[in-house]
Amino acid sequence: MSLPEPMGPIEGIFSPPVRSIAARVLTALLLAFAVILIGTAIKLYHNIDAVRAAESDNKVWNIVQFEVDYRDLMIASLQAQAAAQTGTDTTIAAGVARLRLEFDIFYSRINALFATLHSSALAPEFAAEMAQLDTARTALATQVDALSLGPEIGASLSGFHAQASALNALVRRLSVDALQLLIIRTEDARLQERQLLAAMFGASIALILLTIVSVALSIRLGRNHAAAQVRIERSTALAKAAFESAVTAMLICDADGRILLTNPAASEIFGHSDADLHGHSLHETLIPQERLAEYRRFLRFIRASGEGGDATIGPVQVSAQRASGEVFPAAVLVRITQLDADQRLILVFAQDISEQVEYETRLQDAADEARRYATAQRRFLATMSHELRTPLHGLRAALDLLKRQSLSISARKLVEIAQQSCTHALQQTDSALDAIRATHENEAIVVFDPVRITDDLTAEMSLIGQDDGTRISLEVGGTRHGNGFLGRPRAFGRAMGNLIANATKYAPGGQIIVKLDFAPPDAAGQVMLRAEVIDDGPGIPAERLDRIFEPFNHDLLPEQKHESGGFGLGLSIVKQAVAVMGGDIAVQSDLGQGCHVVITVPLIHAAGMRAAPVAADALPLRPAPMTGQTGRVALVVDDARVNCALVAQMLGELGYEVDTAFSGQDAVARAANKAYELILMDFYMPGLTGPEAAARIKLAGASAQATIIGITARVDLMGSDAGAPPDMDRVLFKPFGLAELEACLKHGATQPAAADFSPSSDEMALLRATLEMCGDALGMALLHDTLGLAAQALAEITQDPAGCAEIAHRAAGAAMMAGFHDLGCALRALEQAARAQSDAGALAPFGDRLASATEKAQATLVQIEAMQKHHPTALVS
Amino acid sequence: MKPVVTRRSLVSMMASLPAFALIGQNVRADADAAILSVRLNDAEAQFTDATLSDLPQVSFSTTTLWTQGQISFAGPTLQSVLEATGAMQDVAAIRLTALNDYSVTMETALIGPNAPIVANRIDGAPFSVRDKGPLWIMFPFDLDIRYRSETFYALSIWQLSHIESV
Repeated sequence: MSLPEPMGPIEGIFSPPVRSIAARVLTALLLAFAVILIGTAIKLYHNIDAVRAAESDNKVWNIVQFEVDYRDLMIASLQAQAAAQTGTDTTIAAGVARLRLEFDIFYSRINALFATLHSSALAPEFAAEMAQLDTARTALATQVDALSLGPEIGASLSGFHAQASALNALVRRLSVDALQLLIIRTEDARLQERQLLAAMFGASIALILLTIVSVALSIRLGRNHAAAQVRIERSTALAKAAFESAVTAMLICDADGRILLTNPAASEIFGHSDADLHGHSLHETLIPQERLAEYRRFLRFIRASGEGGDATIGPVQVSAQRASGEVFPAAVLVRITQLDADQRLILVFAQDISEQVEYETRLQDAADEARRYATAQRRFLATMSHELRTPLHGLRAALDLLKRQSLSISARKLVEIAQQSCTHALQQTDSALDAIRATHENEAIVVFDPVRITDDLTAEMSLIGQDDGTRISLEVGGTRHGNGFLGRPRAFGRAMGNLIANATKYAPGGQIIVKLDFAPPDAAGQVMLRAEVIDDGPGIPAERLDRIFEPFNHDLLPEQKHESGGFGLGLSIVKQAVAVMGGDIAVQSDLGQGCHVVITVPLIHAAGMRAAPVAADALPLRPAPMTGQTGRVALVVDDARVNCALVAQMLGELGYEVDTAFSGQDAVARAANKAYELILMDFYMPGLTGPEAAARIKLAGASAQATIIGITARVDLMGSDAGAPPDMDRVLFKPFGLAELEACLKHGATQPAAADFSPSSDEMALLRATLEMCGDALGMALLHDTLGLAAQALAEITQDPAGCAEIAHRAAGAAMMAGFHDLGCALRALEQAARAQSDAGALAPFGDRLASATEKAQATLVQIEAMQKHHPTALVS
Repeated sequence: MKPVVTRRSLVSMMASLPAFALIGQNVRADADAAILSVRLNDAEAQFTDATLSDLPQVSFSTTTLWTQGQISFAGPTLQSVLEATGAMQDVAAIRLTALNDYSVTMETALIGPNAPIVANRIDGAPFSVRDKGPLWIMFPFDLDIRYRSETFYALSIWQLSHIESV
């Protein structure tokens, strides 16, 4: 296996061999340039010289000709004079004409001379001479123009000749001076030209030097490039070595997932030869069939993520396929890198983690095993606790009966001690059950009403504390915008229940204030609920406050211990429950100051959702007078009087006239004499048990036709529903509230699932897997997209029923992949229906189902987002 | 181009000329006087200022060695003057002679379609012998550096009076 040839442009940039040739050619060109420059300069110099010489020669000719023309004029003058003395009229006329012509020529020559010598830098005496000549010329011209072929011609000619002869010296002097001036000027011009040429040569040489420096620099740059190339080659070799000897499989693919390059480890891990991999797509070779949808989604994400920027995904655990078809777990890190403007590469680093996963699986199995043992242990403990409660209730009832009899003072005292011990033992079993629940419960998030729960708890505790004269009041403040909040009602109920119970316990006969305060929801819909329980009891010494949350902390107040009893688990249960909810707890107290406990719990405002009908471990109770308006009569049988009273109140609210019995025997006796429409009976009672009593009642008597509902405390960890005993019509599990009771009476239903709006744990797990695989940001985007598709499919039902199937199909695939199982099923159903018929009306029920599934998924998503935002670990528990 | 002056008319013109036609106080005084005689081999022609002005005119501005400042020269091209004579094709060189008998020989190869001209106007007016007139062979020196050489300076003959083939 080898790296492919380097790509074209890279090779082009770094190929070195032409360098020295280029340098030589460049040098030769420079030399040629210099030679041409020098040659041109010389030629130019000569040309300039020639032009100047030509001008100079012509000027010299002009100056010389000036004197010649003067001589010609003088000759013509002499000849004309000779003709005038001796010749005929004709010869005289010819002589005068000749004189005129020669004068005109001389005249014009003077103009030419002036032009030749014209310069601003004439010496003053020279200029004066020229002015003198000009004046003389004008005078001569006047005379020439005045010549007439008359008798005075001879005299005129003599006069002209005399005046012209007088110019002789001036003409001579001007000629000589002019020549000298011309020579000096020529010399000056030549000197100036030389200087100019020298300057030009200097500039040219400087230019050549500059060029040479440039060439040297470019050669230097070329060498640097070569050195850089060597370094690049070295690092390439290193990278290649690392690539080829890595234990991790590396695959370099293009943006479509086509494999471009692999290392030996890849062949080894996947069992494919190079030829099998190169040029083939990942999905053809390494992706198992059943993971193709996820893979395609991943590719779509890469394409959709657009240009620019590198990204790294993972490491994540995925399933991969070997050449043999074996699917194995692999840890994969994907890096997307932008090579250049139009090429993106996907770098895949993969490790075979099948051994690791196997090891983890074994570890998991071992942990599961341990958990099973622990569960069995807890179940045993719970069973024991529960089993203990029944005889303890019996014992307490017996002691009550015993106390009514006339006893000696010492015996009465003993009975009272026995009663106290019995109460203490009951409290301890309750605490133990609570503690077991608190530690091992993984409660789902649902919609609930915290005010309702607290209200019920307050009512219950008021009932319990009324013997001591304890007063409990509830104050609700803040803005709520509805009653529904997403949270963990059981934990909340447990925390509040224990806090109120503690206060009742430690401040008997005092005033207990329970406060709930809702902060306004933030942008994400989160509401901070501040719950306070304030008592005016003896308080806790400040120095012990930091230890009160430790389990089995008995030394709160030594003198109270005996009186209040309990395991000392209460506050530790509260702390755990608050922790489960992601909240905080704070206690303010000191000796004689009472106790002030504040818990702060984040909840999600669940707009538009109704609260689940019942909550938590509380036994909801609305104090209401027992009314018998309808004439329906019911009997409540429970050895626990508190329970009995509670259920009786509930039935009273539902319009029953209620009787109570505290034992099976009592119940049978009452039922035989009075025709009860409804009998609610505890399963486990001292003496005659619920089912036994029910059997007797059904056998004969006034209430043989009564509906008998068994009541049993389901120890939730046991989770076994054995079904109703033969003589009982239904079974109602404790705890239950008014709504459950009503539902049970109306429809015969067992308790409705409280988790109506809670995603099943399976769905949660699937969604979690999606998020883990894609990373939170991408995962959330995918989940949102899926919901968007579902909404689109829903809209299509009315807009385009025929085309709806296609979108539903896509949406269904996305939903299934993302982990929205119900939503996927709803979409599948819609798709099938839409394929069968395209009538919008016929599709309406499917649309309704889809709408509700979408709403549910939406709620789940809100929940996940909220959880991720506030408790990132909540989903990974 | 149609010759303005035929050989016959030139002969008759010459017969009517006074002997001293060229001799006067002022050339301009006699516009009908012949100011240029051309003889190419056997063909001979005389030109007055008017007949020269009838030929196609060329004008340009230039500086010269013999004048001061830019001057506008105008007149027929030497070529058109020679062609008007009618025998230019057999002539390899011509001799140009001035009033002062200065003469220079010019190869006909140097004669272009636009230069030189036989200038008979400076700045739009005729010019006298005293101003190097009435005719001046002129090259556009400023137009082309080629003209700024000894050859062309020598050929720029003023007070031109005769042209003959060599």
